[in-house]
Amino acid sequence: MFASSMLQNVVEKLILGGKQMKKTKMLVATLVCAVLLMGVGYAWWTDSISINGTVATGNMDVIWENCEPLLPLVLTGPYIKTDVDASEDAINFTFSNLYPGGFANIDCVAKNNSSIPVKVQRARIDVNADQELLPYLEVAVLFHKLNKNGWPVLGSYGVTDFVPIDKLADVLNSSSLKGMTLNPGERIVFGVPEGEESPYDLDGDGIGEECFLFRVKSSAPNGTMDKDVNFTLYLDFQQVNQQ
Amino acid sequence: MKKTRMLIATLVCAVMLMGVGYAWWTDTITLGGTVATGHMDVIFSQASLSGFDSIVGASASLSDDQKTITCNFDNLYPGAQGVLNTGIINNSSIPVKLSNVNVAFTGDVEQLKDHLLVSLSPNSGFVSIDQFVNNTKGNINRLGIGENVNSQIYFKMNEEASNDTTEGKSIGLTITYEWQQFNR
Repeated sequence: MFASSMLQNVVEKLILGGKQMKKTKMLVATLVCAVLLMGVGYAWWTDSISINGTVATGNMDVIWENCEPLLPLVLTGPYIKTDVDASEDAINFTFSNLYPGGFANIDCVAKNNSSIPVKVQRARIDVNADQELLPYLEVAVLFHKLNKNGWPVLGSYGVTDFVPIDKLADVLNSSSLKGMTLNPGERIVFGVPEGEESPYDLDGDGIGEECFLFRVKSSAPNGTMDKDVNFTLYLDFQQVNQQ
Repeated sequence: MKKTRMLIATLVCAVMLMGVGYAWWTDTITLGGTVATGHMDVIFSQASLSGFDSIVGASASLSDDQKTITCNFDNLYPGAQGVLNTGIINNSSIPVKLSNVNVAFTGDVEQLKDHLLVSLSPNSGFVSIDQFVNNTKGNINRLGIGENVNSQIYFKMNEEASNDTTEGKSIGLTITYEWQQFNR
């Protein structure tokens, strides 16, 4: 009621007052009209709907799968001593008392425990070695991918040549390991899949050795006695959609 | 805008862009290893002579590294004999096997070589050094880690050595045992 009478007053003044109304008052009146109209607008029925959202991030976690005593598994030639310390992020091992023609391998599995797919970005290696031994210590890597149900993925089997250990990262980065994608729950098994054979039978028993396979070349001279090579191989993973 | 400000702005933008790049998630697993070699070391454990009579001046010595035994026989005569008592120890970290035996002679080789006879047992027949070497090669197929083999080598001067060719002569010999790793 008050609003409508006020509106009536304004209109009357506009008509009756004519030019006597000052511009300022005209502006005030217009403003009042606008406000009133807005008030009328609010008076219409209204309703709203809303989206309440929670955005939670996933996680990225690639691990060494440790299922003692099965993994990581170490196999060696005779008289070679081993020691392995494994966690989800790092496997550290020692092979000692190697000799020309001696070999040792370590069988390990990397699993994508993330909630998102990942891929192998690259391999890196740090090597600290007695230089006499370095040219004679060679490594080869055999690998394949398992899907989340534990079945080998066709075409994922890869084998590197034997190379001096300081060249290992280069060889892996030029193999099909680099860029290999792992969906959640999938694994990279360092070894030979069912139905395939390793080309490296180092002890001549008719069964090829596999996994991360280390050997001292038969041509290693006496200067390689009582020497050692320390190394750390890093496998860097990134989210699969990263360029 | 001054150049300095422009540069600073550009730098800030670059750092921010770098920050965006690092923000992708990553993870790393590592495989750390130490690979150490063993060693090979075969030595003589002892060297002594016995059995020679007092007429013969005989001595044996072992080198500091225990790799070489030096024997001297003076005033040897036909029928004189004695024994070198020795032993071989495998101080290696791996088993070894005998791969070869070599003998090098010095002195009056031509006159004495065939008259210096050797045997591994006083009950078995004495043979020439060349024959002894051939017999010895197949004797030690494997010597385990830390294993010690005692050995006696009997020396005798041939009773049939003639006066004309063997009197006042001397001969030196070096017997070398060559070892190799078990898996070679």
